[in-house]
Amino acid sequence: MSTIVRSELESYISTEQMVISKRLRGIIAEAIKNREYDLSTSLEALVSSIRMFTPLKSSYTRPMDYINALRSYALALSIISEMLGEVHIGKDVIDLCKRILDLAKEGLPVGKIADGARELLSGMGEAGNKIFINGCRKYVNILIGKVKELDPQELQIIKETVKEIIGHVERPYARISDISRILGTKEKDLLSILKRIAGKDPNIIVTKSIITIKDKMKDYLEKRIRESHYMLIGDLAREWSVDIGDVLEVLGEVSDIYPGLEVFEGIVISTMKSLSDYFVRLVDDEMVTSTRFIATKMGVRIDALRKILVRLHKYSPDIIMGDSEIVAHRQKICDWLRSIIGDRAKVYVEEFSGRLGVSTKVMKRFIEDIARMYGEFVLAKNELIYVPNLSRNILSEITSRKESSEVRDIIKKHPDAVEAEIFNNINKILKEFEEKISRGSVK
Amino acid sequence: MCFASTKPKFSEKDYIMPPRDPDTVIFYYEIGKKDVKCFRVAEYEDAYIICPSGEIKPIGKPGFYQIISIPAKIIWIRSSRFVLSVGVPRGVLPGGFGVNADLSLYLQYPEIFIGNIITAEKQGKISIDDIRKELRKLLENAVRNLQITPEMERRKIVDLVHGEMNNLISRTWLNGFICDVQSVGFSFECELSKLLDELAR
Repeated sequence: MSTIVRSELESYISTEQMVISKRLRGIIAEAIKNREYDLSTSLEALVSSIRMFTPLKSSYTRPMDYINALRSYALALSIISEMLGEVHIGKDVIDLCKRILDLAKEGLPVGKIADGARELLSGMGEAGNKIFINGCRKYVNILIGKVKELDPQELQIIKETVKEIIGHVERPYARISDISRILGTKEKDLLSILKRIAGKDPNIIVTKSIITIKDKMKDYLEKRIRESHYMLIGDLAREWSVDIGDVLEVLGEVSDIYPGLEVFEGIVISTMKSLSDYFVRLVDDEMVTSTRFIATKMGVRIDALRKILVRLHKYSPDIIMGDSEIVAHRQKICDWLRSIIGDRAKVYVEEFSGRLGVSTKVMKRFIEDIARMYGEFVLAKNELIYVPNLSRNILSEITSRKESSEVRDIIKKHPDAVEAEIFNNINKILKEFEEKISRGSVK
Repeated sequence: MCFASTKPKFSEKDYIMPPRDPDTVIFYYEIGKKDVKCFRVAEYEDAYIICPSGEIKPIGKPGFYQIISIPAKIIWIRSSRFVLSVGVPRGVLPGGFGVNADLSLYLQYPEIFIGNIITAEKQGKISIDDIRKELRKLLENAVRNLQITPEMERRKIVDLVHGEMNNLISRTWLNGFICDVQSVGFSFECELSKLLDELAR
């Protein structure tokens, strides 16, 4: 295998030298034509350095040392070739080329050259990153597909290149097909290499379609969850253009470093806290709502949401649920009932169930619970009696001596509920009268 | 690829190389069936091979090479820089003064140049004199076109001649080269010219 590597690298170095020399020849000629003699002289010196830039086989005692040197020289030439094609050639670029050539001449291994070159190119900003990626891409192409076992340093270069690619897309992941297109390799070959890299580097996650960096993905998910409280697995799969299985695989890996991150019922990704906050905020706005409404708003299956809500409401004291169909805010439930009741003393349960779009049976059970918690509501059969309004009506009947049909109806149907209120009101009137007498204000 | 690198040969009979003549700037040779297949490229030369398919392949670095498929034509071009002094006599130019210039050439497009010089002959060469003759014609035309006078600033004269020479060179068999005009002088500045004038009087 080392023979294949050696011959591939030797041939690459020789071709690359010719390509660079030809390119520089054109630039030198232009410089002479424009009478920029300083530039042409520097470029001529660079051309001669590049023409002689080959490791001497006789200088190495072991064949592997020679192959390692070839690797270093090939990567340096690859980056220089990209740089000369990408940027305007000036003294600074020539100086940079010489420094990259020196890295290889110093006998540094290929991984160190990649690091050194990246550091040198970082001063050029976005162009520098592009040069580094394309330089590595060319180098990687010499070997990928031709050699099965790559050197650990070459794996490192591929890793660095992929990291650069992922680092310069807006999203913290990249499709393997996209990377293979950028690198110009076969997707299958690249995937097997990336899997080997992921096996050695726990920060890299590789699935059958995408590659991502764990900490970057964590930051991305954190940001998204902070903004929208939750994400749907289906949406992520669509956004990343991958199978749901790939998304779940990535999330499973990321959860190692993201405490609390959870996939709820296989459809919603969030943390317990963020999702609870979302529901609390939602019922805070709506006061009382139905699971169906929330499911539609979130775009999830109702049965799955029921399970999520049943689990979460135990941890959110502000949320109360009715038969996993109704979700309400504990402090606002009475306001909601009052807003529907208005001035009336009794309202049929069907009106509440109709408002929410839930079954009367469920609504009745829910109101029963509420009536048990708050004394101002009394549920009698399928009618909710609002005691303060009833009391007001009774008082008005006593003082005005005019019969109210609503009070009569309630007395007829639910005498127990009315009786207490009559006594309360008579007591109230007597008390008021007593106070007036004791103050001596009765005329 | 119609050639490959090979081991060095020690006898000059075993390889082909340009004649050891300092006046030869370009030399080409077609390697046929009966020729030695090995050739040498020295460190002061650029070499190109026209393969049987017609492709022009540059040879990246000095060394010994073996022709794999024949017939192939090898072109050696001297890469070391040389400065040519070219003069146009007073009698040829209007204005009553002769012009001389120091020029050097730089090969920008080898493929174009090779296409201009290659002939059907098995071998051929271009010497410094051939190039000088062509450059003299070019200098004459450039001076005529520019209508320069000795009163003009010298730096400007050099710039003008440089630009015009490069315009004109692309229309000659030297197309592919860039001409670098280093200096321009006039006949009345030359000691020999002054002496000849006095003798003539």
